[in-house]
Amino acid sequence: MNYIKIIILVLSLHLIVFSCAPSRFVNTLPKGETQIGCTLGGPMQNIFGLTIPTPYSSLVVGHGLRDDITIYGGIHTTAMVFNTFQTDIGVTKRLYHSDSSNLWKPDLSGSFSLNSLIELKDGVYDLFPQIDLNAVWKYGHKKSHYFYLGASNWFDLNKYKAHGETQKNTLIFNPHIGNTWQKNKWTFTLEYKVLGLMESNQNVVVNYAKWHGKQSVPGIFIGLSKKINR
Amino acid sequence: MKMVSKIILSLVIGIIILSCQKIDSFMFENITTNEYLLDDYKGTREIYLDSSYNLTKDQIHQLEFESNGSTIYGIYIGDISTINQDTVIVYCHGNFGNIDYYWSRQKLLANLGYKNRFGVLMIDYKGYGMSEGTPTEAGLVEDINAGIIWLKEEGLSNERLIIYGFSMGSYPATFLSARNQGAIVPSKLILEAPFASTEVMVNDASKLSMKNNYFTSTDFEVADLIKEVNQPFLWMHGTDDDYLAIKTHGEIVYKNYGGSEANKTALRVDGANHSDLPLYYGFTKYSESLINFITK
Repeated sequence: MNYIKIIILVLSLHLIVFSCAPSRFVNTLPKGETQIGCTLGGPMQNIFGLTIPTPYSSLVVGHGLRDDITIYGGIHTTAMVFNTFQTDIGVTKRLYHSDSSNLWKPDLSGSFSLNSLIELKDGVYDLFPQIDLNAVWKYGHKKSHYFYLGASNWFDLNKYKAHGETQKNTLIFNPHIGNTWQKNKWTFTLEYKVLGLMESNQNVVVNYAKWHGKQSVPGIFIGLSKKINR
Repeated sequence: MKMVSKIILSLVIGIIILSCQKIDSFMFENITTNEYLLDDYKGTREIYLDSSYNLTKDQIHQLEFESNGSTIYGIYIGDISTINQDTVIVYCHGNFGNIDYYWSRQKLLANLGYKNRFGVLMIDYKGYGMSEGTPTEAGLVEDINAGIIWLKEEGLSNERLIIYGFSMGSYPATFLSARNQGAIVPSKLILEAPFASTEVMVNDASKLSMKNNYFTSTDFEVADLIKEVNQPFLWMHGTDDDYLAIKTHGEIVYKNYGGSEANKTALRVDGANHSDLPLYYGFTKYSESLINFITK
């Protein structure tokens, strides 16, 4: 069996799977702050008897427009290798600011982003809106670290898929938990995502890990970013 | 802002450098070999047959064909001198391996009813087995057609040509049945575990209505080509196919068939997976189904 070819085939399939980056800026940046960073990770797959996360990568930049609004944009670098220009551009709004004296009461935030894919040679494109909702618990010295719980929701607004078949998956629901640690100018995030909670993982050409039974795919992501203007 | 400018510049350069890549050649899981071992092949096979299916060596012929400048190879089972009278099955094998891997499949077809009732031709696509070159989507059709050209030269006519496509082999089989672009248009089409298209594969994996162009320029549009097929059509698919799902691949191909309802036959085999349909269904029942379809 030609393992190299299989790896690349699986990688190439995964780069278009329904989530290839962790949640972006669940906690809004202070006004005027800009962060740049990179992310790595993706759906867990079984290959060579091992279960490993797919190594998707992306670069992301975010900027605090106000203390409660952050705009961001990401570019998916793994996808570029395969002639696909994939981006996500969005905005996070803090919806609720908790009482800072109450450790258990979270901030709430919502994000809206547009995920676009453009095939550079043929000019084929797809656009998938995404709405994320998160609860964020801050802790530690100066409450610089935070734990978050939420969901990324991808919307497929196309009525039809291949060969005129009806596209029934209008919403792909991806709950997640994560934690972000901050030190000086650096921020590190680890996130676990349940990709496609309601979707079957059976009978597809990709050998996904099936940690949650016959539905959904587990995903593990890491992110590293740095403040560049403060 | 200098750092941001550097990042943007790096991204632009990165896109220019990297965006010329495609993975079409990685779609194919071909294995090359210097010689065909057939019964002596010790690697994994699609299915295993006992000695009652063995064939005499004088009925097994290794052949060379010319396909778009490359020399490709095939195996014909049967009496070449009677091709002008025989019914011949052209078996288009799947994506993985080469002729050795599918040899037991070809032997099974050469034992339908009784030994050598039908002539059976299997060809290794370019880049598979001993065949030169690199496999491509268009090349699969060229390669199978190279074998059909030879059959025509040996006296085969349209009404005695049956084409059988397994998995990826459903593409050349359907193309040559749909389009009048081969040396002979087959009179009947058999598809086992067919591939609907690359786009369906992408839709299944992503759960979204994404297009296939993001990672490959191959289409393998069997589900569209089948609309142009009017010949009698037999479709077989395992209900537990975990590679090309019966619902999203096979059922679409069957539904899109362009001929009359009377001309199409479905065989959904409960519990069978992608590669084990003849084994799971039982060789006897599998053979009877094929004989009934070919001879009716």
